[in-house]
Amino acid sequence: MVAWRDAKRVPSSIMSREIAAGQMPGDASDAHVVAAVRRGEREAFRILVVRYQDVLYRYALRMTGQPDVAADLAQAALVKAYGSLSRCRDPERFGAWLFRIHANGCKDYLKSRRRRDVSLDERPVASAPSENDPAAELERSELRTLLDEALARLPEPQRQAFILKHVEGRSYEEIAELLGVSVPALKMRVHRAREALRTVLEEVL
Amino acid sequence: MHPDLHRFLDGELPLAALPPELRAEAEEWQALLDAAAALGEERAPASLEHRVMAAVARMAPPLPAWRRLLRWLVAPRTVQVRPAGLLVAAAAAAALILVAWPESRPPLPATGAPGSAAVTASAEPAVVLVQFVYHGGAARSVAIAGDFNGWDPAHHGLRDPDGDGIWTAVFPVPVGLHKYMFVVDGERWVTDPNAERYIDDGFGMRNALLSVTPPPAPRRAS
Repeated sequence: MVAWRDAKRVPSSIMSREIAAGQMPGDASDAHVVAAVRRGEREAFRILVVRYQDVLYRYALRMTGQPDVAADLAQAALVKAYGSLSRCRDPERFGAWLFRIHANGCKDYLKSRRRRDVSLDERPVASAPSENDPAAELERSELRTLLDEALARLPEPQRQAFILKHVEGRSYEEIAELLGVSVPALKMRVHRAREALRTVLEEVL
Repeated sequence: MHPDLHRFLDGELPLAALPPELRAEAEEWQALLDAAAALGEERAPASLEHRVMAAVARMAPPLPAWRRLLRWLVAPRTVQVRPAGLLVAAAAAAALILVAWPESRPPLPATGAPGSAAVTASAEPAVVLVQFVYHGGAARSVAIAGDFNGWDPAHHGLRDPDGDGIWTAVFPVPVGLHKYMFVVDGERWVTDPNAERYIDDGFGMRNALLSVTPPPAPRRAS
């Protein structure tokens, strides 16, 4: 079973705030939180938002290359999930269900963008260097920017597979279940993505 | 790319197991994938949580479909109606009732009175005075019981003052189609032999049918 969550990134202040308020604790299982929301405890949905917003945002950012669009897509996925929560048949796997909503949203956006003929080359710099060891961080930052540009040129299925494998650090089994493909087929996508990435990077460099 | 390089990047093969000529390339790839993994440390904007919860607050709670339907059914709401439309709807509803519920139609006019129930107009249009006649020969008592008096003969006795065996009485009966029987000597239920129509009573006998129609409207003087 895929536990598609990012619990380690949930700020402890959020959890303690929920507990102090006498509400559902921030580390409650997805199924418990979904059940509470379905009972009408709207505020419990905040736990799921905090739990999944980063992973949704990152995925959309890598797929679109635009922070504002990524935030909008993550918001749209979460709001759509809330509105459709009664149709989530397996609340224990809420994360996987949410990701599918989000992946479809990203795909639709990319289709519409292609129709509008917006160049993928107009991608902003993804991240700024931090203040620790500025020289090394600048080098890493440049590498990330380069990687972002190269990723943007990959075909969508390969980019999706590469992001989930190497940016989100998910196992092949997890990704295969999320995307509804076999592990061998998924491995092939990732391998092709690496090959394509190398070609693109060689062109850029 | 060499297949072993993919196996290394998939975590299936350690760096030391790679042929020496692949190790430099493997290390370059590892650096690139480390940079990719660092992209995974990025966080969503701080405003995203607030934006989502604000949007959610404007939405109806995600209740199951049956609960949403129930809530919709019981929630008070304002309905705007055009008076003309209301009249049309009322006329349509009345027509539908008349079609679907024939007994609500005015009953067919009684065809004469060769039987024992003669119809006379009363002052009240919805009720008609009906004369019942029983030719039963010797009896100590005769009463009428029907759906118009709750099948209770206690207060609807007929009389035979001259002892000729012809029992008569006039009772108010509502307009419509009615079933009835005579009750002789308080215990014997007898079907009116002179009724126009009959219907099985479900107990092996037949009820007489009586059709009571509204009286005709009085003619205007010319």
